[in-house]
Amino acid sequence: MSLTDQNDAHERFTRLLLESEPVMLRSTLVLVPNRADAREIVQETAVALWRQFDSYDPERPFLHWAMGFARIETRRFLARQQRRAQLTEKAMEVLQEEMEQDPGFGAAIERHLTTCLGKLPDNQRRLIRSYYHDGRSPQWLSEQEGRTIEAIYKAIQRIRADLQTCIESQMRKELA
Amino acid sequence: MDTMDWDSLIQKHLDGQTNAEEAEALSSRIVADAGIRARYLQAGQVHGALADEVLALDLGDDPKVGVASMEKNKPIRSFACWPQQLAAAIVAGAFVGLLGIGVAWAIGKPRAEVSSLNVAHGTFDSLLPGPIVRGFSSRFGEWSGDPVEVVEESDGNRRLRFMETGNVKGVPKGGASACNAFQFIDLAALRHQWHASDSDARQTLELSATFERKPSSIDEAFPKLRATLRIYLFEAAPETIAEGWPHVLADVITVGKKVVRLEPGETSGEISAVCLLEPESTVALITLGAGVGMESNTPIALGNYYADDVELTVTSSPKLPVRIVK
Repeated sequence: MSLTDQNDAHERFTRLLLESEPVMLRSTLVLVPNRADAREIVQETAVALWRQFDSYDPERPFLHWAMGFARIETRRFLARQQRRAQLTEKAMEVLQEEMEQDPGFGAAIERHLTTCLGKLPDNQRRLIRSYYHDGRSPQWLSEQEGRTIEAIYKAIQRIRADLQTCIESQMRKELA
Repeated sequence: MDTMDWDSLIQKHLDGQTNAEEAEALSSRIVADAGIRARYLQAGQVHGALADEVLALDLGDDPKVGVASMEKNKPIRSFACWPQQLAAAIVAGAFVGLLGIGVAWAIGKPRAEVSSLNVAHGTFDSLLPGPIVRGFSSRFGEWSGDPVEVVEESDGNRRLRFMETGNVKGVPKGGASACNAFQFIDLAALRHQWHASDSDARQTLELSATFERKPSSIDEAFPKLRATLRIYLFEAAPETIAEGWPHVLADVITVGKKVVRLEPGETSGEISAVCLLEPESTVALITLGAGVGMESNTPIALGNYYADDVELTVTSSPKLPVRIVK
């Protein structure tokens, strides 16, 4: 491969990966919820994808091709990392199948999550922002807010559940 | 367990709070029960979307405010691409970091190199207390912008105070929702500092600063004020950018942005905005801002809002390690 061809391939790969990376990360987070772990898996997937990019058929959707690699890297990661309790391989398998077969809720999130976030009270938005956007730990948040770590976890979990309910409600409105 | 219990367990699992036994029980139920499987997928996808850095913009800022105020002056080129450009830049920034780490693993040793670039008067200690240049200076290494001033603290430290929101070009009804300070950085002249000739390296530019909001008389009216860091990269002369602002944003190559909101008495710590350092970029425009997060055509006093310790660094990471391995 000439240097020009190699540069072209690199640019093409970068563009395709940039488009797909958010979806890969989100899907990986469903199966491996810890954000650092999920990012590590996506990093490994990116390297694996580049290694095999010569064999990529541009007629096929890149994301579909990439998700196959992400599945392999997820399994590899879980085989070597036992830091946290994870779902079993069988459970992950059925979840992956279902995600691929029915992207309905994932697509609804794209449409409605911003709206639902906008409906949250300020203090809840702030908590979610600190936890997800600023990467604050529950321990740090508990010190800032003068609440127990358990209470912080509960609050975050309740907000997520409320967002889930809100998105479902928005979906129902769409169908009505 | 009833449905509610499973929902709680799902939520616990998403935060890494389940033990091995609970994860096993949840797994079995996911395999056996389509209803629980669907609940888990929905909850997991919400969790995944919240962790998405692009989506997180909606949490940290309300882009509608900035876009709406700038769209009023929209020239021939569409400004509608702005959020997409921003999103792309952030994803790209995240991805570069991602590859950097990937590289290190692939070849077994870290290869990223970090170079500090000089931001003139980045600590403000070399400036005399008093207002800085109003308007849009096109000179490299000079702070300018909306009403801001350098103040000296009792310990002798000098920093920037945002006085009131403004409209840097003085456009009538052009919006005054934020107070910004600007400085042009001559990337073309500094390029030798970060091995720009290395075609196997990819560079990111990181702008960092600290913000502090001290209590003041506006606290009740504005319980939260934004602090914003931005880097815009252009292939254009500073004079052209200054003259064409803000319409010239349609020509930006890439942009990095970070927003935090501070309450009275809060400090931000060091925050950073990151963007890809595209090779064709010749000028970086860095901005520090404080804003009220609402549209206003009249200036709003910002109380005691400060910025300090502005730094700019370039990180060079090998583009794709696998190429080297090959």
